Amino acid sequence: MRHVWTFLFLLLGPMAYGAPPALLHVQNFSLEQGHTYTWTAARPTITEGTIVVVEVSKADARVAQVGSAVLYVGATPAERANNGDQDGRIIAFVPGHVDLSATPIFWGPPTLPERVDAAAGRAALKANKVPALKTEVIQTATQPAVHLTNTAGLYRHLADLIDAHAPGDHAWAEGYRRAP
Amino acid sequence: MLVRLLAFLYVTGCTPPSAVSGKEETEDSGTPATDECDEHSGEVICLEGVAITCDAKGDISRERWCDPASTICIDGTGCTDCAIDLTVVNAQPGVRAFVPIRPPATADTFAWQRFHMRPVRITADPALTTGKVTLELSGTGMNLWSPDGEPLGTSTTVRAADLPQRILVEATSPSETSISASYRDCSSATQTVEFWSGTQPPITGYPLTDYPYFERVQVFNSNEVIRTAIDPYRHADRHGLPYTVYIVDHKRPEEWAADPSLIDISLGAAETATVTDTSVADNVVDAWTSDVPIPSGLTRTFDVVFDFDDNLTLDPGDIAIGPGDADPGLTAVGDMAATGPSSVQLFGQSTGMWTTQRVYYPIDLAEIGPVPLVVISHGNGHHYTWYDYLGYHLASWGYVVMSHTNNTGPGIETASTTTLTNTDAFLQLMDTAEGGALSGNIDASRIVWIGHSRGGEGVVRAYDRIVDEGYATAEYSADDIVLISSIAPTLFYSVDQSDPHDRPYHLFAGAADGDVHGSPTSQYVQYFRILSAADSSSQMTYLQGVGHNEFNCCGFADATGPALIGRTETQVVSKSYYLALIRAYADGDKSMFDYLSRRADVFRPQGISDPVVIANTYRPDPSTALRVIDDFQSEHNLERSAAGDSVIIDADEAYENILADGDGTLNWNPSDLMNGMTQAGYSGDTNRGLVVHWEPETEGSITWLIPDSMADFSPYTFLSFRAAQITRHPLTMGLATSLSVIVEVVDQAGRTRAIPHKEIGQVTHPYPRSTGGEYGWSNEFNTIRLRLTDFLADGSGLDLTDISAVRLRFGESSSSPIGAIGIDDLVLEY
Repeated sequence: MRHVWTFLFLLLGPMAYGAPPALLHVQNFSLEQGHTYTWTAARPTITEGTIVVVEVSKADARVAQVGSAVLYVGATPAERANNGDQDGRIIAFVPGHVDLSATPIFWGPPTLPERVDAAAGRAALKANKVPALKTEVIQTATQPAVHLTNTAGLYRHLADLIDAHAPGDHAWAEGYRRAP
Repeated sequence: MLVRLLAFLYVTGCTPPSAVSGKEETEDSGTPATDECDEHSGEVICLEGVAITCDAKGDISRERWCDPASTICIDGTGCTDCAIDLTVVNAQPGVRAFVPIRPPATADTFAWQRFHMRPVRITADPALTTGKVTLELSGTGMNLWSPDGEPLGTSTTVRAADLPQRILVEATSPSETSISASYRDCSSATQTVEFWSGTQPPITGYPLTDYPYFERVQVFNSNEVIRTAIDPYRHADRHGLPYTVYIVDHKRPEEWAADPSLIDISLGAAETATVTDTSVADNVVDAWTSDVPIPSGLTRTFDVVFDFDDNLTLDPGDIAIGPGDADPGLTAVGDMAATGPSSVQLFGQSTGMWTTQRVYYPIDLAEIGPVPLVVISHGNGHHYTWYDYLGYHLASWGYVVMSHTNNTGPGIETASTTTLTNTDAFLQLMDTAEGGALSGNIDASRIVWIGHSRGGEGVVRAYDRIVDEGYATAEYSADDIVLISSIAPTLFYSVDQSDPHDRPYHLFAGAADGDVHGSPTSQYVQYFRILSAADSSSQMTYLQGVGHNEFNCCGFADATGPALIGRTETQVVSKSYYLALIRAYADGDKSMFDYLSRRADVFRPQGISDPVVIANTYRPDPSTALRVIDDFQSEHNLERSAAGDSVIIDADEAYENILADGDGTLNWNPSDLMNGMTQAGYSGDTNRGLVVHWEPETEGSITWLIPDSMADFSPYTFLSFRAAQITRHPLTMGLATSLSVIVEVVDQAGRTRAIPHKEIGQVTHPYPRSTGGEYGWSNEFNTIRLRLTDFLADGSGLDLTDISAVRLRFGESSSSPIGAIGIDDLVLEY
């Protein structure tokens, strides 16, 4: 798989900030209580969203303070629940129920997600060369939607996904489960 | 008749007869006069300056004219020597005696201030029992006290019958004065002793091979040799006198007043020595050569006394540092990286997704509280459980530490929010948390914020939001944050938005950081700019060979460059300096400032290995603790200083500008004289400085003329500046090691004194991390801090009250032969 990413990275050229993520899990969710989505400048309160689990290179997953590429789903930076550099798996979500067949998942330019406004998000999407996922990939990865109560409930669900897909980040899962 | 004749001669000033003491001497007949001895048989009587000895029959048996220049006639005794003798105790006769300047004594403080006064013994012939001796103090700045605490001002009288007596001389300001004693009826009996006063610097320190031959400090690591030194020029009145060095446990002033006995506790006997008249270098005494035991706690405090009486008692006339002061004369500090005395309990708590916390507290908290709160805000991709090493360490030394989930992923604003909300959440929970174990034992007015990376900017941003944007905290206020410390912080915001404002600020960073690397290629990593923006005290601890993630347990290995010191050693440094910082700013332990203000190449926490290269800067609060000679900001002219006078530059090249790399790369470019500077350069930055270089075989200097308005340096304790070698400059590469210059001070009379600072601390050579085929990383500033009284050592004669210039000299022996440096903040510190 790594060789494929490397090939694609070389093919896509310098505008790519990481090899295209591979989708392992996609799941819609809804919330009874709104969650403040802080990973965009707009900071919307959301009651529904889309969870993705993607496989990436461990190097791309590595979270730095500056210079880290931002994981986008379409024009929106994804809220990451783990680092993913131990296992090469990132658990993240974005607002709304997203049609991944029309919405690419890609690494965008390094910045602080809280600085990404609509225009910056559109610019990142426009510069992106990673195509949207094929339907069969999405179908294979799709899991039943879940209904959750609030932010803590959402993160407890993400904690389970961390343990399932990225056990090297178990500490994050443990932390999320502590929230009441 | 004879008597009347003598009286006449006396009044008229004629020389009396050469022989007046034999009864055979009579004016006319040789027959003794007998009338004066009537009713005085067997007595000596005085009559108009003549002593008449009457025999048992009431006849004059002897007459003596008492020379009024040196004698006086006293009934019953006869001619009596009326000379008054003044002797300064523990001083050589005829030598001007030194009196240390102290706060003016009062009736309430005399009991211990007296230890620092110089006693003067007044004696006279025991037969001199009539009349009074008048004592007068000339000049200002000194006062007289009676031994029992009566203030005598500058003049007093003593009954001759009460002699011998002592008076005490106190000094309250720089002065030269004398005491004269006179006896009214004895015109030439006046005696005078002279004094001068000045600052008594510490008497402990380290020997130096160059002038001033002894660096005077009061804080030592417990594994260092403690040495003392007396300056034979300051104390010229004590030449040849023996003394014994006592190191005794520090006592409060009241305790010294009640019990001035001296019990030396250094291992082995108290050291004895004699003041030699040559140099400070010849008066150094190894007072404590073995490790100083510290039975409990981190520090042990002592007072130091030179006992000149050899009477095992502190009394006026000895030399003492510590007795009578709130601060000790000497502090020995144990291993700050070692675990403290308290066992530590850990627990977790959470009130929400971003208010999940791990708390470390000493189990004896109820006995030692209330204690400060230390908050740790981690960096991006880091975890709140990754700082156990620091949490356990600080808690073992008596602090409550809370490390929290930090929402750094979105950015700095969210990170700052989690710092703010977690601090509130903790304080709201503290009464009920852990079954009430913390209740009432945390001092919420002493909060320390430590942030790492994005969290390092987040803690600064959090404070800025409270101050500038009115962020409403519930359980604490801005004033409760007593220290903000950032570890390798990002700087996504401008320094107007991520601004530590008036809080003491500390910066930790590693030169091998592969993430927030501090180089000029990105504005987001130029953390020195936050340090530049700090309005209050600021300090930096910059470590060569340290990456970004060695400050926690588990971040990925990013360190880039040679001589990496690794996570274990980095955390020894972190534990040591954080303990020093928190004790300094949260507990007010003044001794800890030595670890911040003295160059780390010569003084560092004892647990840190010698090979670890540390660049450090320290600047006290500019609003209260220093006066600027030149900060290069308020005056942009190269030839004018901020103090308002001329700057004379004699160097191969000099350039003043904002401290910003000119071309965004570290590689050497002759047109970018600010190469490697990352202290400023973006919105809100104001920090400026000077760069200068000197070639081989050339000597140069920079001279700051001092305006008359600030010529008096005597109120200040230190002269300091900070300097950095210019990275990748050919002269820096040619030097290839640490750098030093010579610091010279000149007074209005043209007297000069120079100190090479190489043994007091040097300017680090840039970390040899390479890019583009060249090596050297961002410029590392180091504060060089010299004690002003060291310029007086060995009788330099320099007048610190009337200074005309400060000069840095380059390229001479005792300094680096070549170099290229940046200079900033030449200041006087109180």
